Amino acid sequence: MQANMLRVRICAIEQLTPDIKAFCMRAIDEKALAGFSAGSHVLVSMQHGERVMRNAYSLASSPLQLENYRIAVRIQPQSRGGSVFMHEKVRVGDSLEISPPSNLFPLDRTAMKHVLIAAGVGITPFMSYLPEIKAMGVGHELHYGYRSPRHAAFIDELRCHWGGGLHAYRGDLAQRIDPEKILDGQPLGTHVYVCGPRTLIEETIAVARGLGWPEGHVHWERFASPAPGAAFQAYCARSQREINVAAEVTLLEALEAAGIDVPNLCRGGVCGQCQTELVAGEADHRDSFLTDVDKHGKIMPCVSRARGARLVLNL
Amino acid sequence: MDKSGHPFLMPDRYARRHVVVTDWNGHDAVSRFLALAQDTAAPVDLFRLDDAIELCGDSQTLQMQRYDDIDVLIGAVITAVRAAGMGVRVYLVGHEAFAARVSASMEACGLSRREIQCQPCGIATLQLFCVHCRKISQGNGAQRKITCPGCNRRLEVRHHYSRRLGAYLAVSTDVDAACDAS
Amino acid sequence: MDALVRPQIKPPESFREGFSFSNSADAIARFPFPFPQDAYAYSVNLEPARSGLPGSVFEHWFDVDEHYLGELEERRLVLEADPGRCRVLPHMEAAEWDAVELIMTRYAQDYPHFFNLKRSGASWSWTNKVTGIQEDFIFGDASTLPCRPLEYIARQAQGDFNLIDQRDGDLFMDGGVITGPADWSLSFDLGMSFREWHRPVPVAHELGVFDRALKYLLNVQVGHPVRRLNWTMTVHPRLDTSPETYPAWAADRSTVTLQNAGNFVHLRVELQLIVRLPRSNALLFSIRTYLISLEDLCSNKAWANRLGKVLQTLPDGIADYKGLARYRGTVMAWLAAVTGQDDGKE
Repeated sequence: MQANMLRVRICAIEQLTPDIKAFCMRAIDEKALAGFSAGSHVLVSMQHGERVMRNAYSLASSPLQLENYRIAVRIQPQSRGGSVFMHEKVRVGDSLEISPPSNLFPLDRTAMKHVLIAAGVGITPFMSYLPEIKAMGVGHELHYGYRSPRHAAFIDELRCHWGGGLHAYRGDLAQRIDPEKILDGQPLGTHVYVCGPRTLIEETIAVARGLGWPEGHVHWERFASPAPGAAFQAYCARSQREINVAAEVTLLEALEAAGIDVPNLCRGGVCGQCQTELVAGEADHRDSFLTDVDKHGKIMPCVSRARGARLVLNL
Repeated sequence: MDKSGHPFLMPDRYARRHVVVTDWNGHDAVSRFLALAQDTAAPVDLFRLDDAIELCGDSQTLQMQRYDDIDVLIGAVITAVRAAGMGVRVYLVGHEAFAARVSASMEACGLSRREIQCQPCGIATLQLFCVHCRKISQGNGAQRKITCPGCNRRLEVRHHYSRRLGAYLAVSTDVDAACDAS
Repeated sequence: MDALVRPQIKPPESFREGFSFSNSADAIARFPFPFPQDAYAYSVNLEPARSGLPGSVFEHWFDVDEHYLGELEERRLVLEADPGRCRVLPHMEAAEWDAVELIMTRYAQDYPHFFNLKRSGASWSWTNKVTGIQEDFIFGDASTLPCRPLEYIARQAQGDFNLIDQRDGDLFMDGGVITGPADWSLSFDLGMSFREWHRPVPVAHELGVFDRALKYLLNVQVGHPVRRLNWTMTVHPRLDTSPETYPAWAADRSTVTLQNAGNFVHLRVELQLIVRLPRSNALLFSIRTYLISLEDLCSNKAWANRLGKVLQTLPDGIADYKGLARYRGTVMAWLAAVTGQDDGKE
């Protein structure tokens, strides 16, 4: 999967909110970037000394222009350091490696209306949605919750393009996104898309179900970057290799650094691509993909770690 | 499941409104459904195409409307599902041709397949899609061969059903007959 | 260094009554023989479409061969008689343009001596040196092309094409240009889901083949297409074996004899390529059909032997479904005579 990486150059950095920075990037050699569908993300490789971290970031630019891509990164000091790296080390003019776009959060092309619900940095994938929704010519609303006006990333752009379709919820005025109010009474053929913390997503899913919305009409993308944990060992039974997994490195990253390629896509524990057989050891499951049954004997290395000192994988 | 392998209609317990549309005047399918629907919290609208005898109970949550003309019926159903919005479920009980027509109108309104259930009743009046003239006509369920009213070709029904068209594929059989005879 | 431009495109041959189609030695050598084993079985035979050997049918995503002009003419004739062989549902316009971009860029990249594409923003300039077509158009503006985008590019490409929408964890055949199908109809299958359009295939459903295939296809990524081979047989090198024209070709199946089987019966192989389209997130299914007469096929003894064994062990249900039951015995006898093998008869 690493074969197709694109080299890009950072052409602009904007501080959108105290903890969110937007990065604009162009292809090196000034070629046009690859076309993408709204909701796509790219994997950004961050080389810091000997460590290579890869995080998924939604493309927050319009799919109708391919001069540059834009991503937004929220700094998370407690994380493995990817966002810290982006915020503190990356400068305009720097080059980075990104994967081609892939999409785990696409729009449904048969929808008669799209309702978008975002909280905080969860707004980013929706920045690419609007041009596509407009091209479809169907009804749409955006519900956007943020802590305070200072924390409302992209708010001016959104007001300009969404007009009355934008509903803002200010945390500092105790305004809360209420999925029940939003979903009740929506017309036939409405699809809802939610991006934000787990609680908001779970609430929206539950409300939609209770209102009789069928499954295929509810879409979500959770913003999770893998969290760090204690260091552990991973033994690859088939290749007979012992791998050290440092505290701030994911199991997937450690495997990749050792030259063991595992298919992967979202790097956030949701898509299922990196599913690996666990032969021995107790896993600390942090994914949103495996069923409880699967968890005995399988692991998602992009986010999950070991509970003890060692895991044995069928790799 | 019923005898032909179609699952019995089950009211979706999350639905906010059940809309039942039928041209069937037999008792079982619709009354069975209505009895089950009483266990859900949602009101039921019943639309009937026919002038048959009234069949069902006096549930307070049951609204029934009767029509003689299928186009007027469909118009009324569309009005009802649009008013209901997301959370509505449509249940079609009746002859295949009838169910296919109503289903297509529902999908045109924005309902997805998950929001529509069908219970075919009556003699299987297969709807057939003539792949040559592309018209849909009715065949008799027992017959595998018919003459297309659109183009007069002798057609054989294949085991392939299109939900979009509400019909089985039918292909000209004139050639095979000639070959079989030789 | 080979100065010969490959492929050497022939003047248009006929794939219908008259049948002037024939394969050169080159075409025979590169034919995608589909049987890896002596017995044929349904499987999820999808694999990454890695670039194959130079000159092979697997080298490029969209293979152009010596029959290019013949196939374009055949498509023109089919669409003239039956425009309904091209259908695109309204929500698939973005996917159509994706397909135009994909085929034009790959053709221009892989066959620069035949095709050229210049792009300046949305102003595109396409040159097809084989047909002499030169088209300046605005990408995304259908009014600047002589016909709808998918039809436009399909009329200059070999193979049938399907546009597949991905939604609700499933795939839907929501558009296509299908002029050379192996007995299936786009006008009927349009709008069907993955399992629905595969419904007539015997055996495979119970094996769970389609469940696994669907999962695999839902995860196809931009830049990483997958492919598979499909096969059947056709009497005469006829591309349009559609249900729509069934009366025109089905009778041929009863005309096969031991004397003519070598010339009449053709192995028909579909090289299917499945590509993720970037702007629409849809999939393009390209179905590239290769035909070879039994006679030509048997110039390769290994192929002749293997085909004989495949036909010997092929379950009746699959032979029926593939439409070759009527002449299977005759073909096996013919192969046996040619290869000197036991044809399986008592």
